Amino acid sequence: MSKDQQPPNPWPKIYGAVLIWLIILIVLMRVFTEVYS
Amino acid sequence: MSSLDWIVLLSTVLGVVGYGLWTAHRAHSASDYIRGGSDLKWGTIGLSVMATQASAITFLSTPGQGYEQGLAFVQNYLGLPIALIIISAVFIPIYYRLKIVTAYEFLGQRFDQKTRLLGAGLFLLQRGLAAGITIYAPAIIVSSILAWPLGPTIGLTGFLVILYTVTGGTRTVSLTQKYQMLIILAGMTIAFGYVVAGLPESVSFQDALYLAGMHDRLEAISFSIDPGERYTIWTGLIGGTFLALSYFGTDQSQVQRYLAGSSPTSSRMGLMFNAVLKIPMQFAILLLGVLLFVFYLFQPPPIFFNQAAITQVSPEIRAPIEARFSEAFEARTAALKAAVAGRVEGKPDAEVLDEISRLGEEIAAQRDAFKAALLQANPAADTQDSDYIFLTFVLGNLPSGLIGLLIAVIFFAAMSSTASELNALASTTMIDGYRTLVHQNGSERHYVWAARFFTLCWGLIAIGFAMTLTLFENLIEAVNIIGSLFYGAILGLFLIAFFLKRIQGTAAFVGGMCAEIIVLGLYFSPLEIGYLWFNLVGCALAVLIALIVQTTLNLNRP
Repeated sequence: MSKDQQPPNPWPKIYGAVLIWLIILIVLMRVFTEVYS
Repeated sequence: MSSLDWIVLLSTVLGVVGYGLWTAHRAHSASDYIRGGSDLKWGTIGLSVMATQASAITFLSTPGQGYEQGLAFVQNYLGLPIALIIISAVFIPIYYRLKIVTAYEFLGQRFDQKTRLLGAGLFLLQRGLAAGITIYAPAIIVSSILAWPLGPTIGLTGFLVILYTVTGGTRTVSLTQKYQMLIILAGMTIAFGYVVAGLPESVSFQDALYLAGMHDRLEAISFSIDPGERYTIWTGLIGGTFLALSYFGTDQSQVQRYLAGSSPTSSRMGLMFNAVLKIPMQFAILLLGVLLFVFYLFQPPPIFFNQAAITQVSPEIRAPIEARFSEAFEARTAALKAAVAGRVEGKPDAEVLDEISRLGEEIAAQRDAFKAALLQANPAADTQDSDYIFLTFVLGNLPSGLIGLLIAVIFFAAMSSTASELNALASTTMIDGYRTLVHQNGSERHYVWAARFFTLCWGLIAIGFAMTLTLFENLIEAVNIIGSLFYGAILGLFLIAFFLKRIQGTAAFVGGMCAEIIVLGLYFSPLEIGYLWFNLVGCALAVLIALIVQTTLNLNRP
């Protein structure tokens, strides 16, 4: 398989998704803090 | 506990141990025994990594933490996903490419034997001491609440773990952890449901959150930059990343879990599973503690959650304190119900809120009076009772059968962490010590039996250490202190290995050794330094000294 045909590396996207998940969790927990404190 | 509880407890515990023994296939090489045949799927790895980190004390202490201090502790885990991404992107490809069995073998390949032995030695010291505490901590709480004898509880837990860990090695440890973790998650979910169902009919889930917020229990994320505040988003993102990087990247008890994968992809997926789920899981366990707090706003709690300690105070001294405690509790319950009703109608009366606050202080004052009486009766008594809150709730409020399941959850959590520790201690002793220094040309069969022998030895050391422990008061802190004293220098060695290519073995060794000596010197010195700082100090010193030594060596080279 030539270099052009190699499947793209999915890991940067997975790491990006995990970081976005972390940001979503932080935002949700902060909203929770604001609503109930 | 009823006979049904005993049946559930024994059948689940012995069932998983039996499953472990049944799956223990004959390992043909030391690598098979230690890497588990390298055929585990990502789901098993993910649950196994999760089970290794979550010891019994996690499931006893975390609800107690939520009960007393609210959700703030969740911030400690904010750095974990970042650390797991770094390990997945940088550490795992190198570990796989070099086909290493223990993390310290990597130090040997990158530097030299002496640096490898330094890394392995520091790990053995640190983890060997911690393994005893992992068995002892839940045993003392369970034996105190259920009036079981402490020695046999420790001995039996240790024996069962040794049995399947010695027989099956890494594969069995990971496979049993999968089922242990699933039962733990199921048990905690059931307990959560029972806490919510146990709230009074007039108090909805929303009302419960309102009451928890009123008592400052729902501050999950704090942006405060006050250095005196222990848990903030900054300590979590910076300190948490650093700690998780040391623990998941360089501690063999974790490295061994994800290196049992069939490929780098399964190892990475297993870690990403934890990166995604760990924070919601810790949040849920803390919220369980917060809801327990609300539950005990309406259900009379004991004046002290460690029942065994209550009997140490004479009834004559205890009775008036308990009477004042009950009186204040009843009055506060009525005020809380008025506040909830007022909330539904609009805004609760300010006078009612003041009354709740005043009665809360009165209740706290009576608890303090009891603790003072307890210390007078027994100066060595532990006045912290938060670790006993969750089990007190379980025993008093769950139906027969489920109590047995929740006790099994505590034992599974203790067993899964201990199994990983013994497995990792034995692997490191065998691969980095015995096979490198003592017996270099043995057969694979010989090394498998040597690994089994070392697992047995570390198991017996852990049980022996647990049986002689008397430092109950600072037990959880002790685990963290021991870790912090050694993690810094170990992480320093690994960071040099991964990121500072020009530093060679001798400089790294001198850096690691000096950093460890300075950290231990600082710990035993009269200087008062928060122990968590030792992680940073040890790591920074190791890197800095290694850089200086390498520069000096290069200058002196002709």
